[in-house]
Amino acid sequence: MKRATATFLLIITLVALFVMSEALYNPTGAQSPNKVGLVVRFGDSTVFTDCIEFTEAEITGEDVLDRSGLSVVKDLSYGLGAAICKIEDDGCDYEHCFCQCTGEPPCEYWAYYHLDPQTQQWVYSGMGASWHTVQPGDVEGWSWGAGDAGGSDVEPPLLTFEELCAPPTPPVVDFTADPSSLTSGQCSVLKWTVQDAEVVVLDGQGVMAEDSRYVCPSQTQTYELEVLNEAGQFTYELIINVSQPTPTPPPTSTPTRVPGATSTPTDVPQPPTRVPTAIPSLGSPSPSPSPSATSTPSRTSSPTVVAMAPVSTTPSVAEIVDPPRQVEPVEPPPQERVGLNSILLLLSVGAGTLGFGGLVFAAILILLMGVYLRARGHFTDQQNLEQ
Amino acid sequence: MYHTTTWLLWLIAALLPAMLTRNPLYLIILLLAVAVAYNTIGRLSPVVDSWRLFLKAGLILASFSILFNTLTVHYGETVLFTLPRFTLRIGQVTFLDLGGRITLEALTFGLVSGLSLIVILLIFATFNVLVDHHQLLRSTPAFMYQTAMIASIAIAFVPQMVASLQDIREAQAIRGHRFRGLRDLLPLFVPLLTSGLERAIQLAESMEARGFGSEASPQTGRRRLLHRILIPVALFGLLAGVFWYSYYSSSRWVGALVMLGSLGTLLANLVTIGRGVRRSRYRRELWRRRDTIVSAASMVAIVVIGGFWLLNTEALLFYPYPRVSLPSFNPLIGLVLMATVTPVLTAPQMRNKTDD
Repeated sequence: MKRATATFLLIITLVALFVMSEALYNPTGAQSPNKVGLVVRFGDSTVFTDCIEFTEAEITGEDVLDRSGLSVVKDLSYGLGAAICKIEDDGCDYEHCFCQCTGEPPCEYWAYYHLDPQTQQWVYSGMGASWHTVQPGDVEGWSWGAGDAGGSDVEPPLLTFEELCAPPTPPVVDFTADPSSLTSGQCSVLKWTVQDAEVVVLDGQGVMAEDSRYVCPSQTQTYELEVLNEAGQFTYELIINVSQPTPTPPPTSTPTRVPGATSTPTDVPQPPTRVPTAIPSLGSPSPSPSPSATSTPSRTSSPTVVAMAPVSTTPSVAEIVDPPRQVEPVEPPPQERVGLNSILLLLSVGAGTLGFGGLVFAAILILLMGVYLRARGHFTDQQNLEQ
Repeated sequence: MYHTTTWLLWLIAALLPAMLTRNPLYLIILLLAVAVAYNTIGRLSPVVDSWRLFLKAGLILASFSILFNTLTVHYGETVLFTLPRFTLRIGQVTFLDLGGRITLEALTFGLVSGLSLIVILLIFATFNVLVDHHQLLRSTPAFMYQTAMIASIAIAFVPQMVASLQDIREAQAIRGHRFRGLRDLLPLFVPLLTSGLERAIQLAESMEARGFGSEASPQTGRRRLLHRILIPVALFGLLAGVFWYSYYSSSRWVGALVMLGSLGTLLANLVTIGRGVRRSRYRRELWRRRDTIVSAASMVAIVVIGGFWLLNTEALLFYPYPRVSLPSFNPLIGLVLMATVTPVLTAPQMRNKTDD
């Protein structure tokens, strides 16, 4: 008996150890963030692409779809993981997950594909999205269309991981002043054209991507154009030299207004000379911020003289609206924590919305109780003889 | 107390909503109604204690459903808390994924599934207690008389064996036999086996003496051949009809026609076979007024629930994902579920006591 118990315990321990080692084994290591590509082809041939970043070693295909930000309807009642019923507007609701596939062709559903890393061809998934683990560098495909078990007619368009998850390019910026140097009292026109940007800020004010401004500086002035896109934040500086006809005033420091960064009002040291000085901006491709009014892009991560505030705190920014179904910055789904309060709130709101139905429900429960209380005494074992 | 047909209708009226809906409000009403029926008229039955076994089994199954669903389903928007994740994986396939996000939605779905399991089990428990098993067997259709006979023998087998085991144990105890271990099982087992065999032979003899297996009006060879051909053909037709109906959604009527035709042929065959079997009844069941009332209430419930299922399925559905919300409540469905307690209200005991 004891030996049997010991053997049993040993087997259990071994299995547990095996399972744990399997669970802890992490072949990819902890390089973060990991990325997978996602291609979703809708019924009207529009294509959504995204590059999903994640910090885990690997996630499931279902997670990839969840994190894309697309609205997905799933049915979990099949017991084989989630069945994808609907993505955005294509598909069925959970009441009948495969409503477009009821036997006779055409059978339309969301077909699930993986991109074969060797052949770069789509491979129809043999498993559901909940059971398929996705490694960094994979590409996942979804296509709405007619098909059968084992394949569908419409494959998603072929896009490689490199195409989907290419590092974002810096914005294309043209920032000029006309004229670039003037004497005090004259005016100049600042002109800028920005492409591939999400936010454009000129001296702390959100501006349109393509615009101009009329400026009349009384002394040499630096104008900053901050441009944000997925590649990061870039600052372009433009110096307008103002030559004074009168004797030079004492040197003044012009505090650059940096939105949000109130604690660090940075003074750009402006030497009181007529000679334009290069602002040391490390890491800039062209190290010559010459007075010839050419813009010098400089990454904010590199130590520039001008302190930058994080863009998220910028008030009033003009956002360049993306075309629909475009790549958006991916955030993990917000994890809500529900407390006792929210449960109570849910219950009270529910009692209100139930209304008449709730009243009838309560009445039926009371009625049942009444039936039981009235009938209870009538059915005793003695009356069994009566039968 | 009630006719067997009444109880069968009651069973369908109670089971249909329990199987079709996951709405916790309807399930709660059904659970309470069945519990009331059990705790009143069920008390008259000698096997009243079997309920406890069913309840225990139901609770165990429900707790499995709740645990499994909560731990393995990570879907849902309301996260209660997060547990360390535990994954069992072989190659690319995830076989088990425990822990992680524990959502209120998964918990709700587990609770509702567990509740529906308990309700279904308790309906059967109550039916078991209320219906007379012998009457139930006797009401099997005539063409299945052999099956019914075998079923009745099988049902009687276990209680008979338990009783005879008790007898043998007592007899051996008188002779000084004490049960200490596995080795002491032999003096109990051998008499049980021999007495079982003896009883089987006795049963076979008595069945033969009563003419079991011989046909009352022997069928002609031609007619028997016809039955042998027509029944498989009708069964195959039924299968083909069901397939056609569910696969070719554009021409469902063809499938429906094939189904109906095959069903008709099958029933006609079975009725003709059944006519050859003559049955006598020692005690006839009476159909009383209360049977009519309970059957009518059950039929109304079946029709209403079936109608909702066919025409307005959403009224019966409850699906907590992706964000849990309170279930809807349709007063008509709620009231119709009360059909389950009508046997209590119309029971003769209710009247007798008030007359006293």
